[in-house]
Amino acid sequence: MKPAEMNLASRPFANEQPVIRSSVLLWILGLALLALNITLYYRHIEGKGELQELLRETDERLIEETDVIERLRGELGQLDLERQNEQVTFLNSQIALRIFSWSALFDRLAEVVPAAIQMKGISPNIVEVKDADPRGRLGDSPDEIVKVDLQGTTRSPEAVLELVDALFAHASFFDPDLTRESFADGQDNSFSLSVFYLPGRAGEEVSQEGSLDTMPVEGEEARLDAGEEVDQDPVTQGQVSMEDSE
Amino acid sequence: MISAQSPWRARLKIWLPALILVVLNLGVLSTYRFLLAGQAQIQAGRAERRQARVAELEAERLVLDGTVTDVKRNRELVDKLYEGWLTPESERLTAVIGEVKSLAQSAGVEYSSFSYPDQLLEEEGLVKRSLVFTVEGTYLELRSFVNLIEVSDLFLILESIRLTGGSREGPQVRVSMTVSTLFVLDGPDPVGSDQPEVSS
Repeated sequence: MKPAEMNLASRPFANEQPVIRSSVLLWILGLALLALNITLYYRHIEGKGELQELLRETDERLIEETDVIERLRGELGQLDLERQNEQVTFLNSQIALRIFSWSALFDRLAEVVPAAIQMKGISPNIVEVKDADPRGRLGDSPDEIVKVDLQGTTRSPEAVLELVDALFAHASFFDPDLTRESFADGQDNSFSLSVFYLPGRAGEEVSQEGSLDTMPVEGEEARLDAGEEVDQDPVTQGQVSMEDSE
Repeated sequence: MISAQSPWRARLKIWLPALILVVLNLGVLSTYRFLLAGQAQIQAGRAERRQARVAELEAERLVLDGTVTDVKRNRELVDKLYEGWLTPESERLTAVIGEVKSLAQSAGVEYSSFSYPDQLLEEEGLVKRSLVFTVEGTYLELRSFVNLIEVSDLFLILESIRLTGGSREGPQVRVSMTVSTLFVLDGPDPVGSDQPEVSS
């Protein structure tokens, strides 16, 4: 049996160091946590205020933008876009006809038609770029493309082939399509072919109507729509028949 | 149990408040971590979503604004075209006829048999007036005439040229030509009349 511990000192010794150290540590920890909490709550309150301000501003902008959009939609609804597009399409076709240069076409044809050929008819028609060049071989799309139907006569069958080769080689023409050749005894051979013509490339040299270049009616949509009506509207059909364009 | 003589009991006033402070702060910290921080995140997410919505609306507004501006500009240009180039017949018809005849004389070709068919383009508020006539001259003179029509200040559209007499009859060539122009219908502009707020 363990004997009872006896301590006869008036103030028995007790080691208080662990208590003091622990207390100091607890105080340090407590104060650090207090500082952390104060910082966090301060930031939270501050951030909450900013967030609420941001939300308020965002809500205001939402309302503002919605109002503006409704107003613009209303305005757009009153503008009768469909009718304006039809009008623009028509005017574009007329302007295209106005600025189409017959002289330039004659000049370009004179460069490719062999002397042995007599031209009987030339019929230009403005077509849509996407119809004439669906594969985009021309790179930067030209403003417009004109399909030109040619009729002529010749005594030399080789001259027709020369014409086709010359059209292939010329920068202002592409995709010549020899559609018909007829040979009759004692008469000149007649032929028909069609070719796409790029008036823009020739027009740069004969652009006399500067003011018309800046004339109205743009808008890709309207421009693209133009081709559909061009084919139907006789106004846009140009035709020339002539003998010996040389 | 802590005995009465224990230093922990003796120093209770020192370490107990510190312990309470630590426990309370831990409680406050956990409350912040699990409640307030979550709420702040939710609110931040809400603000972010609203800002994204605002950005979408802004983009939509810009597109609409651009469209309205383009439409108005187009209308102004159309009005300008109508007012500047396609004036009524009363202002320009005789000038057009006189111009074509004058150009023919300048080019040295002889003209004959004019006719003036017209076509009403009610939808566009226009009249298309054509001048159908025959001219005779050499090939070069005809080319010159075509060129003069092209560079005319009036809105002349050369629609067709048809050969009616050829080179086998001599150096002279006779062709039938159709030149047309557009006139604004007299009276109010049919396009602008129902949209007064957008007319220029």
